[in-house]
Amino acid sequence: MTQPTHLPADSAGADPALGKARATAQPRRGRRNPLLGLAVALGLLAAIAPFSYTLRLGIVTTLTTALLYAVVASGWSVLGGYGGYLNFGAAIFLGSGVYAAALLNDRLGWSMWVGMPVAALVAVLVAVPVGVATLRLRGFFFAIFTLVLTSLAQVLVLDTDALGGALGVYTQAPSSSPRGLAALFYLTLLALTALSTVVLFIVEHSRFGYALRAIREDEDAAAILGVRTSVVKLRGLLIGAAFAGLAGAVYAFRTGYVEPAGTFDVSFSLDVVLVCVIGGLGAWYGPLVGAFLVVLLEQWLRTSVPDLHPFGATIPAEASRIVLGLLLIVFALYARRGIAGLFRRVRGRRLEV
Amino acid sequence: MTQLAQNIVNGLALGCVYAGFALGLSLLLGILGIVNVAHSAMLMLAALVYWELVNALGVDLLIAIVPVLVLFFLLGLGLQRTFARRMEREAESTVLLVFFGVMVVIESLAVMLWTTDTRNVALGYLDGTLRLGGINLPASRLVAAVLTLVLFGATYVFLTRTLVGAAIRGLAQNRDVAAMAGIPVRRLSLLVFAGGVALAAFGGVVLGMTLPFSPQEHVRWLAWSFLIVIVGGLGNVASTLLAGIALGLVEVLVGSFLSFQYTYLIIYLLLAVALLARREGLRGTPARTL
Repeated sequence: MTQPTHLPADSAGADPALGKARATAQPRRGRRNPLLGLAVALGLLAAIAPFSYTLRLGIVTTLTTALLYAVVASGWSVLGGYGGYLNFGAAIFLGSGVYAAALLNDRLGWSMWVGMPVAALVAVLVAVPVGVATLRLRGFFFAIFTLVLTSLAQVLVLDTDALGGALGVYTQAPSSSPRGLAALFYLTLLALTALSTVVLFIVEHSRFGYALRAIREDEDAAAILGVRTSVVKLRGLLIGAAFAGLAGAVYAFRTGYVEPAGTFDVSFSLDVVLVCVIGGLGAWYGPLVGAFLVVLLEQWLRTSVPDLHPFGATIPAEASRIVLGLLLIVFALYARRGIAGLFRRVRGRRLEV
Repeated sequence: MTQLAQNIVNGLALGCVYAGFALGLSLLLGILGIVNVAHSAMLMLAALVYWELVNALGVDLLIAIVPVLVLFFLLGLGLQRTFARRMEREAESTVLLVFFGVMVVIESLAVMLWTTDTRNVALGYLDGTLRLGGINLPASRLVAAVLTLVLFGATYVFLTRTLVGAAIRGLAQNRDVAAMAGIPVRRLSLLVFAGGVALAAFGGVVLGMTLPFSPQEHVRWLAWSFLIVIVGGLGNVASTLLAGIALGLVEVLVGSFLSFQYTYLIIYLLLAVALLARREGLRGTPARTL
């Protein structure tokens, strides 16, 4: 069940106090406090903070994107990674946050800082009916519903003039140098990433996290044992939506202009799922590892590979999405625990739940 | 009065088309228990292949259907051989992730080959409109509806009146018992999966005949198909057709007094209601029966 939590970089084990939740895990030597892993992760995040002023602007932008995904994916992972309920509509909750922040800025002149909590609240409010309607059902209904809801959200915003319609909404970022702005978004998202990682860590080691995993393993059994499954699942969805909303607020100011098709975009949802699957489902550092891997890979596929011209052919940019789709299939089939799981396998640990 | 009759005729024809979209999804879900999230991407890809045959190569509208179906049957065989075979025993979340990946691959491939343009199949000799007592119906839509009805009839007869069909129903009811009874479960699964993909391709042909389509706007048809499958009951051929027709009627009748985006909203709300109320299908039959 609960594997010891650690970054690949260190060799932390689990706290004996968590032993009762690991009844099925094999005994192992050298258990260490899982907080050590968290400390290492936060230390690494703190260590890359100065990058905002030292690295090239292009690299900072890429890293900012990775951090955006890390925030949303960590939130997604609460229900998706531990509860086993796959949300294919992360873009809905991100988009709700984006639009909330953008409209408040455009119509009322609210700043990003004021917009962020409101955006999180709006995303949560959007998530409530979605969750209530679908989470009482099992499995794939939730996945399908969130997937198709993305296009509904797109159409609704597109046809509602009060929300900007097809014209979209402009946001006014605080006036600053390009470098200062890039640093602002980078550091804000870095802080949010740290927050979401800590939250995910707490979830993993709390009764709430055990309840989610119980639901993933056997929902009926969990219900019989007294887990209030609907409440737990809804809470998981709402935590994820809140983080997506927060990230959405930053996104709105970062792009400066939001429109329906680009905001409620299925490919964003795909990226979030991919980040979590590749990073590793059910490990608090999975989304963090996955976000950097996927964003850097995607960036490389988009920019470098088309220039390679193998056999004189030109590779269009869409090819990168094909690679990502294939990766999702391969990881889903052969490496359900993602990179995190691969590390455990290398370390000779028990792999299966 | 004529207007109402016109709306009902439109709704019936559109409903048959929608039922055609959903049949492949319904069978894969009902018989193999596979949630094919890539269904609408397959529809769209088949519509594009059909478009290529008709518009670019000038193949006859009706003859072009055959190569599309054959091609997608083979594609289904290939998919099943490579990984879908594993799907029947995998956890549901794995199936969802894999087919989500398939959807992305198909969509990106389609964008690469055909760009994101919206397309219409050149209707040629089906371009006219039939008139009967003040009621108009595009010939292409009538042909699409009739083809769908024929296909539903054939599928129904195949599943209920033939020995292979009976074996497939056995497979749907209980895979292990079916295997013990001597039913070649693996070969039948292969056949059903490839057949399901070919039926999705049929949906794509019908889509190409009746509506404009583009590589990135297919998720809407996934919503429509799922609504039909959920209301009609998984794998239930006859009530899938009824559910499709009901959806077509609702869309046309609602659309006659509300604007387009509200039709959309109402159908999504119906999907939500259907999810909540009718998981087991209209007839209240268990989830996986025929």
